[in-house]
Amino acid sequence: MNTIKIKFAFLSIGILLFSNHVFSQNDEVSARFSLPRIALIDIEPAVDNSIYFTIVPSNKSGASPQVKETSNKKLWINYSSALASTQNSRSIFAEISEGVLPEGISLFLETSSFIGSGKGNMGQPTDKISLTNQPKAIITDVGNCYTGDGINNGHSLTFSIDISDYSILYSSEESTFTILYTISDY
Amino acid sequence: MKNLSFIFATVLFFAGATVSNAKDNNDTSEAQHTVAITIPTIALVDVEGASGEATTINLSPDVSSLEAGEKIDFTSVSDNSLWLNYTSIISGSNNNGNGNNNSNERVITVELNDASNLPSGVEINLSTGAVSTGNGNKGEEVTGTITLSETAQNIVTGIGSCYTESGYQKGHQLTYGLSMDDASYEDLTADSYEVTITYTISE
Repeated sequence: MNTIKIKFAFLSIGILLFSNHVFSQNDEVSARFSLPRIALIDIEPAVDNSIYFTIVPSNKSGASPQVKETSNKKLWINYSSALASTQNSRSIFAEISEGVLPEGISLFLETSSFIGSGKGNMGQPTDKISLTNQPKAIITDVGNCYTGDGINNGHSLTFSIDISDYSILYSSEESTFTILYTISDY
Repeated sequence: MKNLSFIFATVLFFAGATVSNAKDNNDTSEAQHTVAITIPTIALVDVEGASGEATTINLSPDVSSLEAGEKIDFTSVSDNSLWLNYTSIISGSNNNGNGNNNSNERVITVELNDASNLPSGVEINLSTGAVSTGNGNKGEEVTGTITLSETAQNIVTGIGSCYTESGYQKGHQLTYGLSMDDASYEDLTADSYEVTITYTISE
C-alpha cells in the first residue's frame, strides 16, 4: 500500500514538471554574475629570486672594471587584471623600497614584451629605466588580462648595473636592497 | 600487506599531487625581490708601449755629430714611448664625502731595482705627464723630473677609484732621460747597461 502511494506521488510530480515544460512558451530566469576588480602581481620564481652583481677587475691594467651578474637568473613578472568598466588601464611600477644603491652605481631594469600562456590586453613595456627610490613605470596599458603563472609567462626582467661615477665608487661588502613592484590604477 | 601497500601508494599519490599543484596563493598588488652588489678593492698598474706591454727601452746618447773635444751630451737622450696605466677601487672607509683626502687613496711609486748596474755618474730621470684618458679620481702626477734610485718615489698621488684606460697613449706618458755627473767622467766605459724600473701601486 505504501509503495503504491509513493509511486503515485512520483508520477504526479513527473506530470506536473512535464506539463510545465510543454505548455510554457516563454520563461525568464534572472542570473546575476559578478566579477570583482582584480589586480594581482607576482615575481617568479617565487623563491631564490635574488639577483647578485659583483664588480671584477679587467685582466688589463687601466681598463674599466667589469660588472658581472653572478646569479645568472631570469626573473618574470606575472599579473592578473580585471578592470572596472569605467577604468581604462593599469600600470606596473618598480622602485627600490629598501636599501640604498652603492655610490657611483646605477641599476637599470629592462622589461621584455609579453610572452607566455596568458590572454587578454597585456601591458606594454617601457624603455629601460634607472631604478631609484621613486616608483617608475615598467609596464603600462594593462587591460583585462592574465599572463599565466610561473616562469616563461609574463614579462622577463633584465637587470644591469653601470658604474656611473668612478670617483665616488668605493669597495664594499655585499650591499642588498629590495625592488618593489606595484600594479596600480594610475 | 597488499592492502597496506595500496594505502601507502594512495597517500603518496595525493601528497605528490598536492606538491605539484602548490601555489603561494598570497599574491597581492605588490611583489618584491632583492638585488645585491659586491664591489671589491682593485689595484692594478701596468706600463704599455706601442706594441703592448713594455719590455726594454734603449737610452743611448747620440754621438753622430760629436766634435772632438766635446763631452757626450747625455741630456739629449729622451724616450717617451711608454705610458702608465692603472685601475683602482678604494675602500670607502674614512671617506670624507667628496672622494678627496680619503686615507685609503693610493700612490704609484717608481724605483730602480739594480741601480749598481748603471755606469758610475750616470742617472736615469723620469717625468710623468698628465692623464687625459679614463674616468674617476685619477690622482695627480708629481710634476717635474725625478732621478730614479733604489728608493721608491711617488710619481702619482691621491688615486681614488678610477681607471686610465689600457694601452699606448692611455694614462700618464712617461718620459725618460739620462744625466751625467761630469765628475765621474773618468769612470765612463763603453758598454751596454741594463736596469729594471719597477712601478708599484699601493694597496
